[in-house]
Amino acid sequence: MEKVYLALAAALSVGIAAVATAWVQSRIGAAGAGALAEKPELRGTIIVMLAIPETLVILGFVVAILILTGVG
Amino acid sequence: MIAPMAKVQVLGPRRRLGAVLSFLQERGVLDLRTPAPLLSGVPSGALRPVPLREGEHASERALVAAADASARLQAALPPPGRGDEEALPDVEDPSFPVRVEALDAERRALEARLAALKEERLVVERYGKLLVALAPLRPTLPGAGEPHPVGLVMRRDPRALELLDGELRRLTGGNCSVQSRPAGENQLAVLVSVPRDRSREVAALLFERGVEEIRLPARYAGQPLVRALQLLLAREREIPAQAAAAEAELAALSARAGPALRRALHEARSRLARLRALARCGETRHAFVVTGWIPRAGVPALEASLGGTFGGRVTALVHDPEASEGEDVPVVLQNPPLLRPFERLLALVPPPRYGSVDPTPFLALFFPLFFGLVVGDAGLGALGIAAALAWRRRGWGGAAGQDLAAIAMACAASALLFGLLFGEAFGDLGARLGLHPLLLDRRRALLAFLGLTVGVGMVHVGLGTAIGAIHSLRHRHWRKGLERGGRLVLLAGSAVVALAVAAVLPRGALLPGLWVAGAGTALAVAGGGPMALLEVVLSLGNVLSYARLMALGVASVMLAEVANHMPVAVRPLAAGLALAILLHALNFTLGLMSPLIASLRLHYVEFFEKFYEGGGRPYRPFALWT
Repeated sequence: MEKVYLALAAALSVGIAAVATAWVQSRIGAAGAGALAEKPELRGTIIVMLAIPETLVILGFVVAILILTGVG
Repeated sequence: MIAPMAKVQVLGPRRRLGAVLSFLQERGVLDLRTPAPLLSGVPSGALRPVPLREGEHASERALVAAADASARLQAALPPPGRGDEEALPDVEDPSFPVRVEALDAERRALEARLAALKEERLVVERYGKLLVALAPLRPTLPGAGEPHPVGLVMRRDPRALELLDGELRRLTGGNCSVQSRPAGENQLAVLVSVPRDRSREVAALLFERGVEEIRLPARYAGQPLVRALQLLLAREREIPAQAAAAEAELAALSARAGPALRRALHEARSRLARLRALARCGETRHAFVVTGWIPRAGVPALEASLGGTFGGRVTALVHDPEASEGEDVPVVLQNPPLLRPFERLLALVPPPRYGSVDPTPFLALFFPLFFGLVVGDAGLGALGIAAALAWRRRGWGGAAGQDLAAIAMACAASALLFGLLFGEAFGDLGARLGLHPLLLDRRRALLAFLGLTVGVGMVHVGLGTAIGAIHSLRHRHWRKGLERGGRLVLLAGSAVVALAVAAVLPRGALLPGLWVAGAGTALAVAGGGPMALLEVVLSLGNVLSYARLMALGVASVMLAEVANHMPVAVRPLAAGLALAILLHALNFTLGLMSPLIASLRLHYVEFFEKFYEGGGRPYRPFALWT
């Protein structure tokens, strides 16, 4: 039973972080597309801004790995 | 590195200004600037902006019109082949626009002729097919009256034909006939015969039901069926030859006018640039001054050629950039040929400011390293090297393509190297064939891999912070330097603490590590104030962000392992193999995209933030238009 809880915790960790990242990226993506239509020279800044929230899901993934490998 | 620049003031007699501008444009080395005293808009002393005379205004208008007309016509013509070239009048001559308009009219007429022939060809093909089908049929009526024939096109549907027959019988009291023959794949040519006095009602019925009546083009209308057919077949034979002749005329026009138009466009835009450059020059009653920036290494050559061309009548004064001119100085990146392709990776961010640090050498080292850490597969690396070699050999994409191929080659070589270190070739296929990990097995040692990527992050962020600290101290920004130095000390202390906790260092190193980290935080706060605490926390967050290299790497190796499992899990074997190849191809494609974006992001967000000063001005020398 303990294994099930661990797996569930790991899944929640990465799943919730992924939903949060997706939500933030959707907002940035929509705003970025609008900004690009006006100022194409902003493409670099917008790609970077779009990649920033990825940290959330990466950290969620790391926490999931720590849970599954039994660290702490 | 960022090439040292020099500010050059070219001075000479006023009457030589035109010749000097032509000379500078041909050399193409000086990035022009308006002389500082003229920027305020208030004339200073005897120096004033060079005004355009009435004749020059007229020239500007003529050149703009000539450039637009040449560019438009050149774009509208097909690519020019070989042929006799036409000599166009000078771009400022009044006869130039007249001649270009005549050439354009010739092009429009030829294109209109081609379009008409194309349309006629479609009509002839369609009606030819229908008339061939209708030719054996004769209009007949079962009862009394003169038959009125109506040709129709219908899709092949027996039910539709039955419905039509029923409607016509109802309308004519059974005195009609419907004959049909196939015309093409899905079409029927139908000959309906009705009494002439009922033809109007029949036409109305067909219109109401949306049945398409065959109406021959005006050229063939009113002709007997056989004659119309003969005419159509004759046209069908004539049209290809006429179209080929029109196309040949268009190609000849392009060969005759295309190169001349290109030269005219080049000339018009170059002269226009020269005229507009006048507005950036200053003059006194007898002298002129042209100001601009040039890479310092190019100054002796410019001075020598000015002396040689103008015999000492024109001279160049050379100054080093002043501190207040930092934002005005254009930036030229100057790196060894091996590193130069990586300058392309800076295209997505503003160029570095003059006097700041050029990150290209660090990009050349860490970008392939991160890519290799993520992909880490000898098989995919070898495929990548083969693709990059093919790309390079074929010369795709010109100079930019060659640079990208060089970056791809470095990334693929790094992936191959890390594949050997991790013992991976197409996932675990390498291990099954006897490849052993030399460093660690990413599939099993997840925590060790996480530690490796975060350690690399620590080094990368530490390097960025060190560069920033040294740069600040060299420019005597003491407080900024102290803050950055403090953050560097904090990172070093944190590294010691992490290694002690992970039992890589003895447990006794924990306390000194904590002291060092605390001292680093104190230094950072001393240099940057309380807000530096936030920066300190962000620095640690920056390091953790490198865990993405581990996350993407594990995802890549797991996908490859799933692909390798397919031939065992899926039957028949061919389907399993096909799925495996598909998944490996998907992994290869993802391996091209995700690591590139992740590596770029780590550089732009985590690394550059520590030292990079954007907002540099690109170097755009005054040159002939190409």
